[in-house]
Amino acid sequence: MGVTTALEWLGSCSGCEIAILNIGEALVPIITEALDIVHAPVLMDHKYFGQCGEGVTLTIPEAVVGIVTGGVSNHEHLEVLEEMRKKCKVLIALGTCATHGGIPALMNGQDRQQSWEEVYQTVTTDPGAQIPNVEVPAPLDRVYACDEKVKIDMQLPGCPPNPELIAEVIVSLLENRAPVLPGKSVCDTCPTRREGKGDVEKVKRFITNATFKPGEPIDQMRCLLEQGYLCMGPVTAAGCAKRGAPACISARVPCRGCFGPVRKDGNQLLDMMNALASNGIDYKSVVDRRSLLRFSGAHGMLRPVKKRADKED
Amino acid sequence: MTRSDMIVELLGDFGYEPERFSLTWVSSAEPDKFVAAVTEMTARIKKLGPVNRQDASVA
Amino acid sequence: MGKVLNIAPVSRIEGHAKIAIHLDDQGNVQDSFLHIQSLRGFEKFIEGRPAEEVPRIVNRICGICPWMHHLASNKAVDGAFGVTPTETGYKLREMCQVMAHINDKILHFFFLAAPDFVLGPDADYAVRNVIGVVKAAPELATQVVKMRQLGQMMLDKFAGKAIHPIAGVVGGFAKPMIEEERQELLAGTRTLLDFACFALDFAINNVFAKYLDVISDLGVIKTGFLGTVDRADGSLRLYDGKQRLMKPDGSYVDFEGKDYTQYLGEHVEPWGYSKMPYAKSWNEGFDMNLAAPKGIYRANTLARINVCDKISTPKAQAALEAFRASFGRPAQQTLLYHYARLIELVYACERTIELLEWEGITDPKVRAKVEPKAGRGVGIVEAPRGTLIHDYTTDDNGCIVKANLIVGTTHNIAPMNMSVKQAATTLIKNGVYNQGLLNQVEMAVRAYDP
Repeated sequence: MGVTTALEWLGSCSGCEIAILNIGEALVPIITEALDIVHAPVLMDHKYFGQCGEGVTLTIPEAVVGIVTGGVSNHEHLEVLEEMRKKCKVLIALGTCATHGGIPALMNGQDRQQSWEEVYQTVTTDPGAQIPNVEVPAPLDRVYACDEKVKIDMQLPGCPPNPELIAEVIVSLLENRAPVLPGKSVCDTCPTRREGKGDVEKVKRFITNATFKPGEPIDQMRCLLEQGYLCMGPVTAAGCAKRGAPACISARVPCRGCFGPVRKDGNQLLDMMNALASNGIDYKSVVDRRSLLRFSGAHGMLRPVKKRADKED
Repeated sequence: MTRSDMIVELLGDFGYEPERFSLTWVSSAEPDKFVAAVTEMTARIKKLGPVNRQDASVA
Repeated sequence: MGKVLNIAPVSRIEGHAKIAIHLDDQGNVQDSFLHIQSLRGFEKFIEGRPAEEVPRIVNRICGICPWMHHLASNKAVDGAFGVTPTETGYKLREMCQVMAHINDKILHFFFLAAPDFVLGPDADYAVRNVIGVVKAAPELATQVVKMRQLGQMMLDKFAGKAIHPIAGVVGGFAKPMIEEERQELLAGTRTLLDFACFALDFAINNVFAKYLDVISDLGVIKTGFLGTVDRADGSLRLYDGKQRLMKPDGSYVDFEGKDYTQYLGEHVEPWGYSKMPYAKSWNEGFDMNLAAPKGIYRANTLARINVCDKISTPKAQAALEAFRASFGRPAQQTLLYHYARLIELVYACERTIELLEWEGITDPKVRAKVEPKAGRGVGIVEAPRGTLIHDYTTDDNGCIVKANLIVGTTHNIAPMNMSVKQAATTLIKNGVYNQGLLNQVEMAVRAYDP
């Protein structure tokens, strides 16, 4: 009999679930023998309120391993997360939304109420529409990472997380050992050529392709920061590299920090500004600095920009 | 000096009013200037109110 | 005493939903609702972002169809900046898009939908899932897992990331294809085409033949259809073309995507976060009444198969002809979505091969010159789930000031509600229900692959 496992998704886009499937053929013995999946809405039919929907309390069965993806942005997410914490012995937060807020936490930088109102006032929306509020979960005041609400036993960021690391975490749990995870930053896993900053004084927008010879291996391409692009490799946790180079770099595209900060409580905006300033690069040349927090906007990092408080006293 | 300009702008990125930061040069022979600077800053901050009133709606 | 059955969460779909079935005192269905539970607000929080960054933010709208958002977004930014991608850039994007369709359809049919057909709709819920399929049909399952993985890894290796892609850029594509990559992709796609033809045959003989009565009864409604067709010959297109809006009687109107606001409106109900697009241009308003629907049309595979005049690739065209011989045009039966999905799977493989065999696919000119500026662009692609519309307005700095998104699956929210109502009303009478019947109600939703 396998180890009982529950999988839930909160404010998730399903990318983490597809990343799990991308473990490939090795996943088959894991899900059919090593694990006994007792609850996983994406793949199987266990229901919250009984199989005929007559119950009133949201219930998830007990499980040794719980995996939760997505951030916490409404009351149902919170209820499901708390129930997962209650019923699972080991709770894993999978993906950057669960560990740091992820892209949906960009909403933390906006006025949530006003934004929601405007969503229901777009050019094609029937006039007079109100924000729905019947039988739909009410939003929280902002988007939270899972560990802001419950204790999390293991964090595995990534947008999406690396399937090899997901498999490593599951297998290490089953084998009762610590997982082998890469440490440090994306730069540590990047083989591009470093020659020094040269005469780069400003960062440029990614509106031209990087300079490289098509088909040439990645280690022949000059580091994208040195080419003058904003690349968040120095301030982003390692983990995305497959086939010898960080994922985006392998497509000749600069990093935007999707694995979250190098240290759990790092600040990707401040750290990047520091890195640029230390290298004499004009921080003002970064258009839309706040989007450097696009993956790590939970934990109070992103807040609405205050308008001038002239009337306060 | 560039770094202090940067600090003010970055404070704004995180939702803090620029008035919460100030860089003033005072020598040890200018006690009045020091007192004035601290008094003015204290009054300014009191007027702005506590930082964690972020969730209160602002004008 | 009337009661409410809350089927939550709706399982084996790609999102968060709850079906509420309201029974009257006699235990008959009084009403039913498909409550969509989530709202994130992408349209708002991309405001202020440099437009060229947006394609790698909005791809996160969906982890199963990220390429669709990524490319519709790139097309919208192209439009706002007044850029025309190079021909190679255009075709590399299309190739990635149709390849992503391949993986998506294998995933949906075999991992999500097949358990109902292979194990039976009434099977014990503990086995009625992909794990049960692996145990019941291990050879088929191994093949399926291998094929899906092959498709995903081909895309992952060529474009850097299969999930949440970054290789589409304003003006084209981030990197050229080299001959070695092209040969590898061709070999892989030919394997996938063989599998696609096998999958279609398998489904026709083992699923559709067996479940013909379920197909003709479950969740059947009468609606119009929306899809994309080639501007020149009206054939099925997934990446680019003109939009075709068909009425239930089969008559249709073609329009250029940028004029979509004249044809589509979005209705809002207080009991679900997702808006419900409807055909504003039919001037009949919006009504989900099963006997007399108004303004209701469907998108996604069955819609595209219905609206296209033909398919430009041979094997898929043959399959389409066989389909139309059996079911006509337009076909309305909801479960035929699965059949249409597999026809499209064959097309996607054939089209990928066509694009790879084009002599210019390895040309290094993959990105046109880009200058950020103020403008408006509407980018439309056919996502697996339906016509996806990204509409952006930019300022002089090339940053987004306004955005409107109509996500493919939302075209089907109203139709799904109708199918649920039809299925629940037909299956549940006099208070008699069980988990198998309720699963069949969910099957009416699953067909739409929401």
